[in-house]
Amino acid sequence: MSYYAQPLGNLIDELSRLPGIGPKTAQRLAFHILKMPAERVVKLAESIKDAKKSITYCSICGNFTDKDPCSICQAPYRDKNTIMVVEEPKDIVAIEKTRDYKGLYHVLHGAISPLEGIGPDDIKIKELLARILPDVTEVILATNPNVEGEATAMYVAKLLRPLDVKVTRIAHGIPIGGDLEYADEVTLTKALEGRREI
Amino acid sequence: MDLSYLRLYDFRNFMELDVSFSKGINIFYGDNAQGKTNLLEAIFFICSLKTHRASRENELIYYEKPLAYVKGVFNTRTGIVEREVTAHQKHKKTVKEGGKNKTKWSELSPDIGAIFFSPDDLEIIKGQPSVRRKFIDDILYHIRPGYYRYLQGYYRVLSHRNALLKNIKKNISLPKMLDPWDIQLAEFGSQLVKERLKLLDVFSFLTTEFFIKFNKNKAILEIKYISSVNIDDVNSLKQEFLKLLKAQRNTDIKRTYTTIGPHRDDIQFLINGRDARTFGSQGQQRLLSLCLKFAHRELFFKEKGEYPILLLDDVMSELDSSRRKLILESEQNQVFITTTDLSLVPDDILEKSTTFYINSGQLR
Repeated sequence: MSYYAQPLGNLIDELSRLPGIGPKTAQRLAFHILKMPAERVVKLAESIKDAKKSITYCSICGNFTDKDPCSICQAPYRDKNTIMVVEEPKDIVAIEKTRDYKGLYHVLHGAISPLEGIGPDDIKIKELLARILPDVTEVILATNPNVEGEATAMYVAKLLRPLDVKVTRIAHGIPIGGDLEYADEVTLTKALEGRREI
Repeated sequence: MDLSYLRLYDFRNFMELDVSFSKGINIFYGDNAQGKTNLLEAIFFICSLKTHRASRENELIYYEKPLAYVKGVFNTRTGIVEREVTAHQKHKKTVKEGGKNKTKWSELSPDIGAIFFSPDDLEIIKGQPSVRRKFIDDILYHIRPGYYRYLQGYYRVLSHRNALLKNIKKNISLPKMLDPWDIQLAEFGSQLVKERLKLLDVFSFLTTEFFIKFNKNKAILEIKYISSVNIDDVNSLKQEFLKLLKAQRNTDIKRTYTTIGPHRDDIQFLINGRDARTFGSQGQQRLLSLCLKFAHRELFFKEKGEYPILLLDDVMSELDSSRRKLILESEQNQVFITTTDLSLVPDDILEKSTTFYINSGQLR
């Protein structure tokens, strides 16, 4: 038997399907929503519906966008000679926050993972290869520094090698503000491998 | 470091127990199934925050009770440390030190530790290679902070590679897809082998010392790391591993699993040049497994500068009288021993020991 009236139960059920939301949080959010003024609730519901309806994938880079191509691919001031390859759209947000990168992106929408049955054809690698025109001079591989991201980077790098384009991998190492003494050995080894002259 | 006081509440077959120990040898005696080993387990649990014999934490709890509580008071070189551990029926254990909750083990007193020897440790010598790998992996896990990351990374890559091998056999994937996994496997794997070799270097020296001391007729002990990868040159491990992976690729695809690497390596104990696993007598094997534990304890001392508590479960009945004396006569640190029969303990050892009689979860 349910403790909740049916519509409330449905709401809790839907909310708890979201990542990072457990049954307790879902219940708290649901009760909060019921207490909100009606117009706020409508606004919330509308914005969810709107976002889902108007946001699509950019046909060039695969980022989320409301107009195609996306604002980054269209921006005239961005460096069209460099493409950074990332796993997810949220990685673009992280890089954009640095305000240091002025090139373009390519979202793979995943990483190679034989355990989960994800092969190179299941992510947007073909689309990346199609973008490597003569004016592209560098491809930066910024997949995650875990075993799946690393395997993806190595695989993509191998495919790009014959295409006469510089392929780079983001550095792994010690976080800024961190202590050498506390860094684990895997990170330290990688940091040492990627050392450079100053 | 020594444990001066222990309190148990609803731990295994102990409903409530308060006991003070001596800094030297403590002997628990009594009939079978009275709780002698459980008491050693409680001491191991409070020291290392792990259960012995791979049991789950909620198995430590007295029948149908909600939690088990263990409190220990330790004398360490930095002063008295009071530690409390509670095992719960439904969730993970909670740990307090000096009355404060601790969630990070790195905040706990680093000097406290225990080494458990049980008759089951014969398996390290006689059992499958996986038992020996686990034995050294567990030691490395404690003394090399990065080792766990290598181990985790290695096994993650290994499962990806094995999944891929199955797909290649079914013609779903191409063999060249193995390349990125081979490189990563070699990277993590060579680190694992390097660390294991480094450990065994020190470890075989320590074990041999005890083996000579406990063995009156001079036998020569040798400990060898057996790997499918050529381990002659530590600096080219990665390349050697990669070369072998390439060479074995077709075999691996046929069998759909990775046939070489540290996950299949072994450690060999040679007594007078013969493999102790198959040619050693039961007595030699027993003595050798005991030497491994003494060596582990020595290694702990080298790392931390303090001896961990030694827990010897039923070691007396397994050894002849001269060896029973040999292993304990020069003992300087705290030891807990269980035995069914006090007469098995050599007289001069018994003289300097404190004894406790255990009867159905009660101590006298």
